Amino acid sequence: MSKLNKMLFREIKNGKGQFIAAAAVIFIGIVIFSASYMSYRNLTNTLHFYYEEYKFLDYYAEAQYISPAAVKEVQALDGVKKAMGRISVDVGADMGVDKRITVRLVSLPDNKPPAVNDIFFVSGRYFSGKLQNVCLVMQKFAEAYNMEEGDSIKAIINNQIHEFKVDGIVGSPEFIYAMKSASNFTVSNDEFGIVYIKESAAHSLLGYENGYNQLHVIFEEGTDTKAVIGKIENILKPYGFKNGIERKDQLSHTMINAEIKQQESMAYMFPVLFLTVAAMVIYFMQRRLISNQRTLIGVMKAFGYTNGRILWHYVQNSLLISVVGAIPGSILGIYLGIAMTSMYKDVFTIPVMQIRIYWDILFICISLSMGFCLVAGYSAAKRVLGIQPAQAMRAKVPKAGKRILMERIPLIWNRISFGWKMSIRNIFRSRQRSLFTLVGVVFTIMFFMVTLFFLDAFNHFLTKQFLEFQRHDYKVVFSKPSSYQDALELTHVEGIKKVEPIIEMPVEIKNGWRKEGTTMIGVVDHNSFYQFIDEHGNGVETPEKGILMAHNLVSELGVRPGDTVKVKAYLGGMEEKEVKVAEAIKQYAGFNCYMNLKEMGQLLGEGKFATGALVKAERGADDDIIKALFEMPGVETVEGRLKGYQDFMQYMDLMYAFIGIMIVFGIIMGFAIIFNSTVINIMERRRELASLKVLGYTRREIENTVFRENMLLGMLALVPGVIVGRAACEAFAKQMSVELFTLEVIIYPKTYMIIFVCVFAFIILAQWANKKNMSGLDMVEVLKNREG
Amino acid sequence: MEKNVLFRLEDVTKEYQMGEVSVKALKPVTFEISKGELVVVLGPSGSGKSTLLNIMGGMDTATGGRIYFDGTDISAYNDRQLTVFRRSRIGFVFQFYNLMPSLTAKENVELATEISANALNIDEVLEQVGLKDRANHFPAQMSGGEQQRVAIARAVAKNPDVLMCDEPTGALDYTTGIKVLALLRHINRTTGKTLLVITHNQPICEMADRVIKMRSGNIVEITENKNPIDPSEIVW
Repeated sequence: MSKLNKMLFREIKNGKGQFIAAAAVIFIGIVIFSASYMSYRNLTNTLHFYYEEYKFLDYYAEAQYISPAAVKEVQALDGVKKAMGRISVDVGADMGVDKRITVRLVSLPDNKPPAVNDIFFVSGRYFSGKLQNVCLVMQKFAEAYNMEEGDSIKAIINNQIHEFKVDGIVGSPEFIYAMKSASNFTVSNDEFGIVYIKESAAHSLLGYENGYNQLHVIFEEGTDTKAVIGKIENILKPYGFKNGIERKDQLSHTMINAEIKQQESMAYMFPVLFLTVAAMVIYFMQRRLISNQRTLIGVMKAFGYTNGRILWHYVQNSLLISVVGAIPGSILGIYLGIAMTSMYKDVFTIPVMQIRIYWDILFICISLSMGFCLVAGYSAAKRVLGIQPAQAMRAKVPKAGKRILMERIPLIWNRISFGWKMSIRNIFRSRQRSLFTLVGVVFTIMFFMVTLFFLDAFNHFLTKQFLEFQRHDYKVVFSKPSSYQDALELTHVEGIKKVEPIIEMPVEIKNGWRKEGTTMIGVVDHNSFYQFIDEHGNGVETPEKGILMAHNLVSELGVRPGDTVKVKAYLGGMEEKEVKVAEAIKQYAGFNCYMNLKEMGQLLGEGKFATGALVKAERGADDDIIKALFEMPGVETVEGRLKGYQDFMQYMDLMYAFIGIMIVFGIIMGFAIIFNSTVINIMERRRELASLKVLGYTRREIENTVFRENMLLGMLALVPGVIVGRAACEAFAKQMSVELFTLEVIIYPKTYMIIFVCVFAFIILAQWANKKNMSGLDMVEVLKNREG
Repeated sequence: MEKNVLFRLEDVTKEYQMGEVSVKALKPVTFEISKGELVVVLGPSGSGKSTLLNIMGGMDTATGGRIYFDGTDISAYNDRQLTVFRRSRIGFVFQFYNLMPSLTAKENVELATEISANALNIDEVLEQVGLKDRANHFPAQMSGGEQQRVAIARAVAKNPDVLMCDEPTGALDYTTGIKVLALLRHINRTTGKTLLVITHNQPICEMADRVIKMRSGNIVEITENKNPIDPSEIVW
């Protein structure tokens, strides 16, 4: 090994604290990057592969009744690779022990797997034989009820129980997320399940004779899908076309896409932050080292070492930090990425998980980290070039002590103790380093905020959605529209306190060329179960005329309160009607429209009717009430409001673990920044601090001058940190808000307190870690040494 | 005689720009140094002697005039050429030793020999300066005299044509200083290497073959010393 390299390693060994701190920040950045990038790539590939292998739809349409002839007509269109009709109907199911839930019966061809939306078998096999009452059950649903082959499911079709024997447990790309509708934004596999039945059985049990109510299509590659979709919808018009949905808007796909998008943004946002911080740390470390070794650089030059070789010596240091951080970071990240992908495999139940180790990520990580470190190292080391060998031999001119602005305000300055004066002056004297510390702490606060705000935001979101916006206990859905009076009959169920009938109807709302599909909900006068609020949080009453529209829809459609929109219900052949938008309301999940029930009935031309009811029960009567509600005629499903809340809370456990790790990362980053800047501070001021020691200052007093400086900078960083953090949270929230729910930036005061405590905790920790550097100040040695 | 000239300086000047004012550190100086000569440059601080040494050693460039080394004009050298020049022809010894604190004595010497084409045997050089037993010690474990001897070994081991010493005894006590001077003279006499010593310490002149006296950037006197004495006889 060359002597310069030997020197390099010994220098690193001497300053290993700084080296490790900088490498740790890179390590974290690279772990986050490689893990999320790895799982992002694996997920994207897996999904792509899964969709291809199992023929996931490109488009599907729903209509009142689609004849086999129409399916053939679509199949014959240019650009259509596969077209398949099927029946899909939601019905109630009796899961035993007083449990009634909704299942979606989906038809599959009797003898051969479907041409679109294929299924895979976890166990069992495809339909065979003539038996009609057989079914295949979606894996997650089967797991929720421990269903196995040979078990049976009792579906309630037209108030009659039909038992289906389970022939197999399956999965499908269409239902990676099995959600009933967009407004049920959580997946609860024990409340909703997919059950495949034979097409012939569906025909006879669900009506539709030989026809279907859905048409699923896969396009040829390179097809102008817009044009073909137009043609398909034209074909389906006479069949009571309701709506057409492209793959990008398919519910399960939207959800999983949001998940992948999140991985992708994770792969970019956090690592850039960490690597920037690492670059800053390295820059200041290197600058200090070079300024400390100015004379030695001069000696090397005097002995004939070239500029390039000396520059390389210092840049090598930065590169080593980058490699030491990046290699273990990327390897750990890659395996973490695999673990994450496997976790997704379990969550998503994908049979063809394409988990591959992309070793090029290792290369990307090292290059990325080297890139950041090289820029930082070179920016600092290039000062070497300017040093003339002869100049280097002369002692460096000490930094001029200047008066700072604050000193011109004697009222304040004169009241400050000498120790504080020294700390304050030093902050301004080493402006760049102070700025580095300040920016570092700002970044750390930002990182903490971005991590922690999720908790508050989700908490707020859940509270608002489930505890404030909705006040009912159960939502009862009838199997078909019933009279208003029938709905009120539910009051007679024992334990029910209050019943408010509702109409829920999928509609299409148009404003000029813009249209959106949503659910219109009719509520009774002075309804007590939905609490509508406007953007500012003020209560909003249901108007007698016009609709209340979720704020998201308002912006999607580009309407303003007072504007008129066209509403078309997906109720056989209903014409478009004009309705005024009364007000925009704030909604957290599932973007709906609300209107007066009576007016809605009139709008639909049906008078006052109900498709279900919201119910408030006496406390503690829950189980009996569900049973009793199910026993009422015409009741198809009963949904507990708090169920969604509880499901969501389960996900929170995972979130706490994630946030816990992130906080540790944040503390390491904050610590590394303060630790390194303190080491540099002490190195720069060794003479000054040793002089204080000579003057009789105690170790504690000397420590305090540095500590005060860090505390002051920490305090100064709080406000800008919160401002920058808030902006970052807004950006994150925007990324996280999918079409199904909005995440608001809510940060509780408690969270700010936690963040501030963390900031001061790592400042104290860094001070403590530097104790050795401080107490090691040898007065004689330091003052004698020219380099100081 | 002409072929024995190692350095020839013709009207060499050096000006530093300090803000608005320019400081003339070196007014036109002209002189020659022969191969194998032991020359002492004497002058008080600020006389320009260090500037002169820096320029002759290729560490700094002159503002005007010409410097010939072994017949070649080095005043026109660019950075790269100066680096090569320093690397192969010059060995420096500094007042404050300037050893690499993280390298041992031997490694410090190796640091210099690694980039030199015709380096001497390091162990022999270390033995010559009397530090064979201290070869694996770090600078912090050595006395000032020992450190300066390492610095001399470092300069000598590259096998340069000239040894340039800037106040080599400046940081040492009298006895150690004399020992260091004796070592330098020994090297000069036994290897024939040209030795240039810069000092403000008048008695050191007595060991020189020639003394160049400087004041305020000028050479005030150049004297030949017919009978240079042994450093052990020097007293200050």
